[in-house]
Amino acid sequence: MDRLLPFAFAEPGFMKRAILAMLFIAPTAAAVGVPLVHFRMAFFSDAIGHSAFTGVALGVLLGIHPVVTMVAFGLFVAWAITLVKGRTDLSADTVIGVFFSTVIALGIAVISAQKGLTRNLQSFLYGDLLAVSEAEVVWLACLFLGVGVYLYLAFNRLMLLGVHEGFARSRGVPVRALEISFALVVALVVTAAIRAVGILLVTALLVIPAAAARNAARGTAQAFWGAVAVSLVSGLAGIAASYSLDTATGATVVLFASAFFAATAVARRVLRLA
Amino acid sequence: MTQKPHLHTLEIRNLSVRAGGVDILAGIDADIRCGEVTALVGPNGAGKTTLLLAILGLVDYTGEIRFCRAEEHGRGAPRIGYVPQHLDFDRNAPMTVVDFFALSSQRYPVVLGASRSSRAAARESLARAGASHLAGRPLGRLSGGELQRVLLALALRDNPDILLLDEPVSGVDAAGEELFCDFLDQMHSASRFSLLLVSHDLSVVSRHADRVICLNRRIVCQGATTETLTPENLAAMYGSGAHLFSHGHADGHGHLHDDAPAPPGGKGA
Amino acid sequence: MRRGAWLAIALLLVPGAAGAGRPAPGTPAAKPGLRVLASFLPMYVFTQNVAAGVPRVSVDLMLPAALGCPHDYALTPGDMRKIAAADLFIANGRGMEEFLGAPLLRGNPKITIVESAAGVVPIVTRDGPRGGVNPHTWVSPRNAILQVRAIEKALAAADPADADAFRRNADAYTARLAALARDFDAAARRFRGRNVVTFHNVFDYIARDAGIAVVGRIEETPGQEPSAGELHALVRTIRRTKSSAVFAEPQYPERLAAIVAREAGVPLRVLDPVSTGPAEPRAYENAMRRNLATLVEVLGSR
Repeated sequence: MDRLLPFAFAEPGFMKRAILAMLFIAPTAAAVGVPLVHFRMAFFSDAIGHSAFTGVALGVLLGIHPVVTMVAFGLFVAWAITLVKGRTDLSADTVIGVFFSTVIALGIAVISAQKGLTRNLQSFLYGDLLAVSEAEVVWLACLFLGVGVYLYLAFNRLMLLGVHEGFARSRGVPVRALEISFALVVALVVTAAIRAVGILLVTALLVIPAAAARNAARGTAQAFWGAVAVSLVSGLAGIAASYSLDTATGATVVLFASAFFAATAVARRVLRLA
Repeated sequence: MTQKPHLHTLEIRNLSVRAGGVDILAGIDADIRCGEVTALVGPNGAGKTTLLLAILGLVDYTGEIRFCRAEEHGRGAPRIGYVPQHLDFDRNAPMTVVDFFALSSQRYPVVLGASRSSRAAARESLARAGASHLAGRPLGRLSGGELQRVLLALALRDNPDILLLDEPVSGVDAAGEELFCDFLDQMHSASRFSLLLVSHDLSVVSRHADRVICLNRRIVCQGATTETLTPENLAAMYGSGAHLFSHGHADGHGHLHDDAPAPPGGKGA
Repeated sequence: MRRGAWLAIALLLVPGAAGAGRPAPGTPAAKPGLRVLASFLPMYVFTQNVAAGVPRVSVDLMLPAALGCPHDYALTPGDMRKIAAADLFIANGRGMEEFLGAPLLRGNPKITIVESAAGVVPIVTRDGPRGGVNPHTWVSPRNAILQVRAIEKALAAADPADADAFRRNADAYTARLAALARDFDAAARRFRGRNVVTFHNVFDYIARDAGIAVVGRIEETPGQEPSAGELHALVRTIRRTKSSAVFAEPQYPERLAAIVAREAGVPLRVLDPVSTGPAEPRAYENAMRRNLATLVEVLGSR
């Protein structure tokens, strides 16, 4: 790892691991964020993020490794929301809102029944990038590859579905399968991204790079690669800045991404770029 | 009746669509003849769009829809192109028209670029639809008429056997409407797809359709255009007082257009 | 809605129902005699030892033994009920229990509050948001002796009839604690390494007793996680001072301590400030003896 990252702030081993983890998770989140924003699913991603809080609480309650329950519960909530959305007339907003609140209430109830649990949760709320292990870096790399393969296969049809469902269906797009598979992929990426920036900020990592790129992009390709670029730059700059400024890493990364968003929003207005 | 050879025929037998306890369509028997322009007319809520969706397999129905193949095509279900009436989408999405074409045709994701073949196909289809200048435009910045032309180009790109058009001239201004109808005539004589056109606009129907199906939950009447659009049938569908005024070409629609070509003489016989 | 959706909702609610079966805290029955309430675990252990075998005295623990130090703790309705039913409140004091004044008296204006650490020579903290005194006084056997004596005095004042019994118990207990203190002293004279890093500032008193220097703490303020730069600075400090170990605490997750220890190449061990654990009479001594063994193992013996 030394040869890869010779900078001063990257000298300690935990920094190298943090940087590598960010290099894998940030573009993964941004890549998934592009169709997410296209589908207007930011609230969904937030609900999954908050369900992770309950997933962790359940893990501690049941004596199972909290990361396992966090991922499993996140997948379950993603599946449940998608299922209920498809079967009722309620708006997506309402369905997600109900799940969101129920899940958080459940989490709080479980926590309050177990005193002393709260200490374990801090790293989940704010991100735990500095404590990432080598094994986790490898997992994040695998997720990066897996999501890459999924998007390679499904991206076109996802975007078409996002334009108009009936139209996509008429062109043979398998709507249900895509909806559910995408929801599950989002849940996986969200739970992984919690490691980097914490539950409170995880939606930002998915949404802000995509939104920033959209402001200035001409065409879908630019929107996509722009999002990936914003996330990578924000990730690295955020880690370096948090090291020097003694700030929380996750929040610093998100602030950089927000700065990009502000910049592109202004540029769009001023230069009438897109 | 025309004597064009039947390549594909769409036969609808006893089709019913029921939703929320209400019959939207009941007992529909209809024929779409291959190579002909068939118009589907009826008042609001008659179920016209639903019938299109049933043909596309996008709603559940009871009854039968048969596509009769001809040996020379030797394929299963025919290719059906669809141009919907409304396309509600996020107007801020940075997707361009070429992106949109590439999305629906090529294998690898459009973020890696539009393939040469999809770009060529897009250029060609857009040219046929008179929309070449729209290639690089974001979808969100197309006007109603431009979007419709893009959708039409997309539908035609795959050389459909049957093309379904839902209210193609409803959001479009008069000049666009003329262009559209002329374009359709050209397309239609060039290729030999069957065209099923849902329209409110009986003047368009009377001038361009070979056959017409009058629909108001059930089939009110169907047959050759001139024979079917009688005052009695119209009264039965729309209520009394509905008349079909024939427009001479000179009338136009009340505004100027230069050198509009004369319509091809007497559709339907 | 279809069955699938109801199933999804039902599955969601099952774990909640499982966690809901806890019995509500009951009001302790009014007992005759002296009712003593200890604030948190070490106070409870000390008081248990002093009041052992005295039937007229009942000792109860307010904070659950799993909770740990009552930093930022706010009284719950269950606590208020216990306070209302107690005569004597044994606390550490020195700022450990922030609810010690008005909030406590609101629950029971007639309760007698005992700050057992009042006689301990304090370590003054210069920095940090709680500029003042380090409250973790009990983690040193010498201080523990002082605190036990203070508790004995308070009990005797409240229940003079049993003063002899209290004195006997306190003598026995402090004798054991004195032996513990002597063992610490003996070991401390032979430590080879004297520099360590701890997780919080809970060990400053025992460090003072044993001549150990705590060169850095991972969390200066409990709950305030260090930044990357701060962690790296800590690692550099460890290397510079040739510190012998990083000590984690059983009440907190180990991850940050593990990172620092791994990066600095020093062993990671656990020291227990006895703020959590089994609520039994020997709990303090057992934990402190384990701490002693850990210190000897890591700091070496000349």
